[in-house]
Formats: sequence, C-alpha cells, structure tokens
Amino acid sequence: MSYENRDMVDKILASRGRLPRREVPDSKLSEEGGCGVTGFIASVPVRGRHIFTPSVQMHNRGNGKGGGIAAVGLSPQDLGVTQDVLDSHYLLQIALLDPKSRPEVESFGISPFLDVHKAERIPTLDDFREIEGLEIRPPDVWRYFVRVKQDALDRFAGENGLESMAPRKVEDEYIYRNSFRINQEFYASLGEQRAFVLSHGRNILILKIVGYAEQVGQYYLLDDFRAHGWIAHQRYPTKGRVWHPGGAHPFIGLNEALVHNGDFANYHAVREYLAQHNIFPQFLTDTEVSVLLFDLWSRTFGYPVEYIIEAMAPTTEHDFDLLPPDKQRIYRRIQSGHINSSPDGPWFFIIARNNPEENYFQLMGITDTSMLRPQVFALQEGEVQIGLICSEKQAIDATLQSLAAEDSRFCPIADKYWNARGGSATDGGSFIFTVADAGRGDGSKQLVCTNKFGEVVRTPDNQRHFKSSLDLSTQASTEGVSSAVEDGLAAADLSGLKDYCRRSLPHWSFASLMRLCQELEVRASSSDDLKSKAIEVLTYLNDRLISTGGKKRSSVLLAVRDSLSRIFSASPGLDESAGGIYRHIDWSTRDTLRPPRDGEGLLVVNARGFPPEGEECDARLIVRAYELGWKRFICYDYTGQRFCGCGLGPNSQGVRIDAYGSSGDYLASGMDGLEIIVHGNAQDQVGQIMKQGKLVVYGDVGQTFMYGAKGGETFVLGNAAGRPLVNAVGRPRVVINGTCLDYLAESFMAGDPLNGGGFVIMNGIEFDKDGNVLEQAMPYPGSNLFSLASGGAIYMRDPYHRVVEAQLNGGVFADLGPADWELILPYLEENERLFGISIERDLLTVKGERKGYQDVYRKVQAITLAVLAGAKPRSEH
Amino acid sequence: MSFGSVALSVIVGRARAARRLNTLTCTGEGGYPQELVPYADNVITQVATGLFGVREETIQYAPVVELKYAQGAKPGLGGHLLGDKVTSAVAALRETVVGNALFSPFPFHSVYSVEDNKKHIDWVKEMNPRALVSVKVSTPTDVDMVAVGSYHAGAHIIHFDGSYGGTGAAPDIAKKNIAMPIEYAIPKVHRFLTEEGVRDQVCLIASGGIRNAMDVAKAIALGADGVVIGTAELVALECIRCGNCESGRGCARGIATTDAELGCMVDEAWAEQRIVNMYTAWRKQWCELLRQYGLRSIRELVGRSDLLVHLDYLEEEERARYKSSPVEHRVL
Repeated sequence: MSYENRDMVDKILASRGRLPRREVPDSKLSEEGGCGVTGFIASVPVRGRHIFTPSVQMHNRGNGKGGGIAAVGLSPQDLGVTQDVLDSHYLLQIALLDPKSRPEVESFGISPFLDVHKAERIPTLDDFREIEGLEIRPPDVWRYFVRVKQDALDRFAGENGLESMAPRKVEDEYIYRNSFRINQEFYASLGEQRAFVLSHGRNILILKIVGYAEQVGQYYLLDDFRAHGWIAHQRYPTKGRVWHPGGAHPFIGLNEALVHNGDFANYHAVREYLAQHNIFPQFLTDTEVSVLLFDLWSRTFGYPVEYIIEAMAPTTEHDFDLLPPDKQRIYRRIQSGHINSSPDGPWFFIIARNNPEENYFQLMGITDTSMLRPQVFALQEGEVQIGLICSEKQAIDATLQSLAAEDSRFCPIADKYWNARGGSATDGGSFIFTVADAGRGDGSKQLVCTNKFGEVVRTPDNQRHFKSSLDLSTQASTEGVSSAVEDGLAAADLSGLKDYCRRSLPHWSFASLMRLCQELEVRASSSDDLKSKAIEVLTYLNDRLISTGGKKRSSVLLAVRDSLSRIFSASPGLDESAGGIYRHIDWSTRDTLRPPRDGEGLLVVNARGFPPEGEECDARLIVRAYELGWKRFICYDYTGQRFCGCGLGPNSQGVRIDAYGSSGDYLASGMDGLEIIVHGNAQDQVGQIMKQGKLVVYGDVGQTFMYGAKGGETFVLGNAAGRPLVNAVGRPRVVINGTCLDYLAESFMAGDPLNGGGFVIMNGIEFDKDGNVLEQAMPYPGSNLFSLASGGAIYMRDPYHRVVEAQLNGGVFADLGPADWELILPYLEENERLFGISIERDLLTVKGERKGYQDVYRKVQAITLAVLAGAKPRSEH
Repeated sequence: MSFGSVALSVIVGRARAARRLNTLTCTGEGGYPQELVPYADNVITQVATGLFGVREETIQYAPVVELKYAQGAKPGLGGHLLGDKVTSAVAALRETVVGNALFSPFPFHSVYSVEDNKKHIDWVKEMNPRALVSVKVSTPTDVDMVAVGSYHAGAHIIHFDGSYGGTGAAPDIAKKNIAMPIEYAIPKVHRFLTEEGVRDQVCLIASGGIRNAMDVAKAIALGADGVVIGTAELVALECIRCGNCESGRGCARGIATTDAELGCMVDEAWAEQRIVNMYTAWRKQWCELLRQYGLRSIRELVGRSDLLVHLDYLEEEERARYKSSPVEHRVL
C-alpha cells in the first residue's frame, strides 16, 4: 500500500476504535467442527430451489441447529426495484428476533441517517410449522434499500478525517459501522438479543435460521428467487440448545458472504490481531473473525485477492522454494506481517462476493495449507457456464441434476472436477469463479475460472453439450451403428465392439451415440447374456478416458450412464416371477430381500433414496444380502451414500460390487477379501484399514485414501487428494496413475516390498481430451513424501528427476533393480488391462523414445532413522 | 495398554479378570491377539489413530468399540512405541517393521471435526451394528463441548482421560501438564450435559490417575458413571512404578515388556486372580461407603458431589472434623 493509503488506513482504523462497544467474552461461544458447505455461481441467474437438493444431501454434515444461505447477483424483478437501485443501494437485511423491536431499530439505526428507497418485511410462509422438522420460528426479516443521507455522510467524513477518501468508500465504511452500532445496541453476544443485521452489502443478501439450510429457502419463499451465485451452509454447533440463528453462517463482510467448514486453533490470536486494528467480533465464531479478516485485508488495506489468499493460507516448504524470486519476496513480507493472524487448523472457506466498482460477482473457495477439510471444485462450460464448490462431489452432482432438470443448457455432469492443493505453488489452494459482463453488448455475462495466481482453468474447446431437442432427426446416419452392435454382440469376445466404439466415438454425432445406447438397451432386454454384454460395453465407454471428438465428455457420460441406469432398473424385482441372474432392489422394495434362488446371482441395487448411513442404509442392505448368499452386486444411482462394501467381515473373497454414480465416503473401508469397482470418482476415507481384496477406481479418490491399510490391491485411474496411505502397514499394493496433493505414505510401515511388503506405484500421468496419455507437470507436487516411513517403497515415474531430495522427509532415492521391476511389472500389466495405459507406449516411452525401466521409474525407500530405532534418551526428571 | 506396551500374559490376565467380574477390558492400540478371542464379549476393540491391527473382523468381535482420539497423559502427541519394544511378535500383529518405532499420529487423519466424528461413528455402526461406540478423548478446557458434540454424533459412551494417568512411556513433559485433571473435567461435563438435557442418554466414563476405591467413588460422586483403571491394575501385578516402561527390557516385573524372556514372568492365571482380588477388595470399600451414605447402589452415587468436601478449602478447625480413612469416612 502506498503512503497516502496508509494514512487513510490508519485514520479508518483509529476512528473505528471510537465506536462504543460492550465487553464480550474473548472465547468462542460454541465449538463447531466441520460442516457442509456448498456453493455455485452461473453466468445466468438461477432459482433458489437448486441449492436445496445439495443442502438436503448434506444433512449428515450438519445437525439442524443452524442453516444459512447467501445469494449474490440478484434479480431486480424479484426484489421489486430497478436494476439501478439494486446496483447503487445497500441491501440492508435485519433479523428481528423480537418482532416488536422494529420501530426502535429503525429510529436508532435507519431513519435518522439513511434514505430508504424501499422497506418491506420479506415474505414468508404463514406458519413455520408447515416445514417438517423446523422447531424454532425463524426471525422476521426486514429488507431496506438504503443510501446514506448526504449530511450524515459529510459529518461522518469530517469527524473521522476521511474527507479525501472516495465518497463511495466513505459510504461503505458508514454502512459497515452503522450495522456494528445496530448489533451492539440490539444484539451483542450474551446481551439482550433482539435484532441483528444479516447483511448490508450491495446486490448480495444473507438469510439464516435455526434449522437446515434448505428450510431457509422454504420459509422465506426463495424457490423462484433468482441469483447468479448461491452458497449454503449446514452448521454443526456442538451446543445443544440454540434459540436464534445469530451464530449460523454465512457471515457478511461488506459485499462478501463467507461460509466455513472447520475450526480454528488460534481463534484467540486472530481476535487479538483484529483488536489491534480496532475490529471487535460480536457473534463469537470462527466464521465471523474470518470474514472480518477478509474485509480488513480487502476493503481497508486494498489487497488484491492473491495476497489475501496468501495471508490466509501461506505458501510453505518446497512450494515456497518453487515460487519465482519476486513472488517469494512479496510472500515473505505478507507472511511476516500476517502469520499470527492466519487461521490455523482445519478450515475451508467459500466466499460469495460482489464487486460493484468493477462490476463482477465472484465465488471463491480457499483451503488451508494443510488441506484438512474436504473440498471439490467443478466447472461446466457451454452455452451457459457454472462453477461449483462443495464439501462433497455428490453435492455438486445434485446441484447440476437439479439445474439440468429445469434448464437443458445445464448438464447433470460437470466437465471437470478437481481439488485444490492448499498453500501450493501450483494453484495456491484456491479457485475463483468470476462472472462479469461478456462484452457482447446485450448484458449477458460470462464466467471465468482462475486459480490464486490468475491462471485460467478451462475445459476443452470446440466441444458441445448434448441437447435433447437437436440431433435425433438424423436417423439415417446412424444405420451403421445398428449392424455393428448386432455383429459385435454376436462375437464371443467384446473387444471388437469396444474397439469399434472407441474408434467411432470421436466422429459420431450425439444421434449416433444415442442410437448405440438404444440398440444396446433393446438387446439387453432379450437375454441375460446380451444384458451383461451391453453393460460391459457401456461401462467401457463410461470408464475409459477415450476421445469424444466434438462432444463434451460430460454429455457422453450422461447418455451412457442414463442408458446403464435404464438397463439396471429393467431387471426384475425379487418378488417378480422371472428367470435369469439379475434381480433388482431399491428403497421402495427393500423389504423383499431374500436369499438368491436357482440361477439368480446378481443383485442390482438402486441406491437412490437410501439414507447415507444408519441401519437402513444401502451398505447394510448389501451386508444382509451377502449373509443371505448374494455375491455379486451392481449398485447404481448413488447420491453420496456411505460405507459401500463395509461390514462384510473377513474372507469375503468372491464378492464383487460394481458402484455407479456418486459413491460416498468410507467406501471399501475395512474390506477384507472382496472386490469393488468404482465406475467414477471415489470420495474421502476410501479403503481405510483395508486388509485384502481388490479395489479399482475409474477416476480420482479423495482425502485420506487407504489410511491404516493392511493390504489389498488398488488401482486408481486418476489422482488421490491429500494424505493417501498414511500409516499403512503390511502389504498394500497400490497403483495411482495420477499424483497426490501431499503427504503421500506418511509413516508408511509396509515391510520390505521385495519380501512380501507393500508399495505404491505413482505414474504422474493424465489424459488429454483425445485420450492420449500426457505427463503431469510434476510427478509429485507435494512437499512431503514418505515422511517418517519405516518400510515399503514408492515407485515413481519420474524420467526427468523432477522430484527432489527436499520433498523426501525420511525417505531416500534408491537404485531400482531388476527385482523391483519384476515386482511391479504384474501390477502395471493389470493397470494396462484395466485402464488401457500401455507400459510400452505410454509409460516407458518418454518424448517419443522408448526407455529402459530404470531410466523412467525411481524408487523411494525408507532409511533407518535414529529417532525411530532404539529407545529414546531418558527424559529429564 | 496394548499388545506391544505390556506382556501378552498381562493382557489375557486382564481379559480373564474382566470376564469373571463381568466388566470390560480394552485392546489398546496394538491389534487383537488371537489369545483374546475367547474373551471377546469382555474386550473393547480400540480404534486409535495409528489403526494398528484394526481390521473389520476385530471391530466385529467387540461389544464396545472405542474410538481413541487422545490420551490424557499426552494429548496432542499421538502414541509411540519405541523401537526396542517392537519385537517380531509385536511387529507381526501390527504388520510393521521389527525394531522400528511406531507412531500413532495426532490427530485422526480421517477425523478433523465433529461431523467427521459422526461419520466415523456411523462407519463403526455399519460394520458392527450391535456394538456400543465409545469416544475416548482427553480433557481440554472445552471438554464439555467435545462431550455434547460426541453425544450428538451418536456416541453411546464418552470416555474422558485426565492428565494424571499414563505409564512411564508417556513423556514427562506432557504428563500432568497439558490436559485438565479429571476431577475438574467430570463435574464440568456432568453439569453441562445435565443442563443440555442429555445426561441420561449417554454414559460418562472417567480415567487418568484413578488409583484406588475411594478415587473411583469420588469420580462417580462428581458425575461419572464409571471409570477405567490402568496403572492400578499393573500395581496389583506388582508393578513398582519405576517408570522404565518405554524400554524393551526395562520392566523389573516383566509387565510392561514384550521381551521373550521377561514376558514370561507374569502368569495369566496369577494376573487374573490378582486383579480380581483388587476389585473385590475395592468392592468391599464401596459397599461400606454406600452403607454409610444410605445408598442402595453405586448408581445412586452418580453426581452426588454434595457428599464430597474439599479439605483444602476448609478452615483448619473444620478440617480436623474429617478423618481421611475411608473406613471411618464420616463426620465425627
């Protein structure tokens, strides 16, 4: 900041200290841990109802004691004002905990100083009890469109020495302090709590209740309320009795709303830092201090977003070394000034924000440096664009499904899903979706996704989405498909048909693809043999990252998955008299479960509708079915149900579960013999304490993959998020074709790999849109690899030796000999069979040249550390 | 007290005693030795941060599954078993490398928050629906919030471990210096849960420095439903409290050792009988105490802190009216 700015900053902060305030306790009111957070922003306004489904699906991340939503980029029609008023006026929303307090609130904080363009009680349901499960009446909320009266503003600027500041900034500050005054008078934690300000920014609003987030929308009638960006939060306060929603998220800065998942270890230090800047929290939660920090750094100090993110989640260790020197210099300054106020502990923020000066809306997600909370980002581009940030991928899918059901410009599957790497030199642990005018002169907007460093995240160009209205007329061109399917299915071996599909898919129109699906579906209904073949072909198209030509991969997946679902659901129920091996069960027919009869052998489970956990969940159904004698399962239409494959007990060899859809956390955790195939991305805590069996994931896996695993074979097509294989022992054997965020195989103790122990093969590759294998920029970007490991090994494809000693933290590079290659080769061969990643062409070929295995792969093994072996020196007495 | 930290015969002896006394003992974090399987109905399976030896099978054995998040003697430090004690038998059960120290990380990498805790508890219930789930935590200053959070996450039992426990293997700098003493934590939690209206729905277990029958009675009168005893049982096995627990051959009585030679000093049947003797003797003291108070069951003692006095807070004259002997523990 320049010196004039500094002078102004000092004046602002000093004058804030003169605001009267009450003493409040300096500790948090209630502990709250993680929560469910979800948000999205689109290039077109979308209705509030689309935040409902993801909120409902994340009930198990909250406890119904606090839910809130924020909306940014609102629709003037829905608010009954003109666009001009919406842009220029502050949208002040006040929650009246005591409905009778309104005249007092208005005469204290509104009428003397503010010009009110419009004031209204926002409409609600007549009776909150119409909403099932809502126990506490949400507050009446009054909404005011206001500007500060000129004389009040002049007096304010004069009293505080802010005359030279831009008038709008002075007005912003005025509004901010006015809300502080109102809260001090009518709220102030532990005082008499009669009313508080929910939000006061421009073109942004917040509502919150004691209940679940979606009930906010139901009660305040937001079903059809339109906005570009929405965020929702399910709170999990540990305190049992909560009578008002003051502590619920989101919290407001000025023009930004923040929701938060996690909790700080250094709440007190952050508070102290804020107190030094004359900023005093009033609601006593981590989330409130987070948004106060953001507002201080953004509005008062004027930091660019990149620096704010750096101050929140500092770049450390190896990542810091990778930064260019000028960035290191600036970041070092930022860190030395802000490290004591960086939120410490697990946290993940989603921020919705309006920048009225530069006329854009933003949605950003920031993860802490250690990546301790779950987070998934997603992007969909096309005629309309949407960016999504959630705690769980299934919430993203739920949002998109809800949108697509209403508006065919959205597709139920995103074009791209990914995780951020906290405090990193690669993406900075943050992604920002910015919606701004598209420059087409018609007021339309476009969305751009960037990371912390401003690098743009794109989906492949020149591909289009499928729209049901188009394409289907061109039947003639699809005739060839029909005969190819006929011939392909007649052959004993399906590789011919798969090959045909792989070669044809890039050139096919959507009509041809639909034709293929239809042909397969029709034939699937005629016999079990053709059905299993049809499933195999469609599954191949679903699993493999093959070229889709000019078609969006998400649309191809949609067609294929819909087709699969139709084939699955066409299987006869357990109470129907029909022959064949397939039997179908779903939530409504769950009571028909019985042992398999003659010839029956495959139970198809529709997971939709099952609760994600508890005695009634689908995972328990699978256990009961297994106890009754079922061995083969296809589970589809997952919407985040957890624990798939858990509870079968030891020696479950011969059982196989195929999981389709958005499978949930703790999949395969505890598995001891069976085989699970995940046809898509897997979630967090997958394969915990896994002992034996085989797990294949045709996608990415989430946080703490195979924590404490003892064995088993695992093949992952994509990346793993943070902390895979921590504390793994025994003989787990794992192939990860992508890479990991950080902390791979910390405290790995899996014996001697050449002698029956365990290892991880990490290929560090990815696929381009044409299905070609590419090398990732870094085979392993994290600062910690194999920390404190005492056994096992990592085999890493790193032909350019990009991974350096500094990243190893207890491990050492070792010679990779013929015995090692002999050990890992069978796993790479299985990897080739499963994913089509060729050892010769893809893995051992570097820049077009075939290399020897020892030139491509490197081995990291444990060294005997003095701290690990032997007794510790006697501690002091 | 896991297989690895104490001898197998001690573990089995404790389990046998638990069966005779109709109570429970815990595996600790070292896996579930086959020798314990006959006593499975009296053995709690511990799922701790290192997940050593924890398999679906061992979770399914247990009537109670304990999720250990922290230990009162060393909260925030995880667990460690030093290289000396990682003999081939220990390494085999834990599937690790012989002679290399074993770390249980802090915290649980799959649980960083209360909603993760709920998910974790749900996971255990999915694998073993008949088990009661116990959450073992230390005693931070916000222990009341931790308790109510665990209750809402679905835990049946909340186990607080105060700062005065731990064997000689816990670092001196941590013992008694980080967590709160259990006698502060128990009433804090008991009161808070009562105010929240959920005290009846959860079982509170206290541990950490509870040495004898009267300590147990005090913990219960302060608000615990029951206690967990560690070191006192070892003392019943003639532990001399020399504090050499961490080294492989340091234990003079062959209790805290996995050494092939030292480990046979304790005999299972003897260990069982000694522990049974100890609790039987304690029971006599409790009965006496209850008789004096006119209570019919030790359950009636829960939360009766009105029956306690804090001698240090009394004037000397008044203090003289109390005798400290448990037998004549009454106002003269």
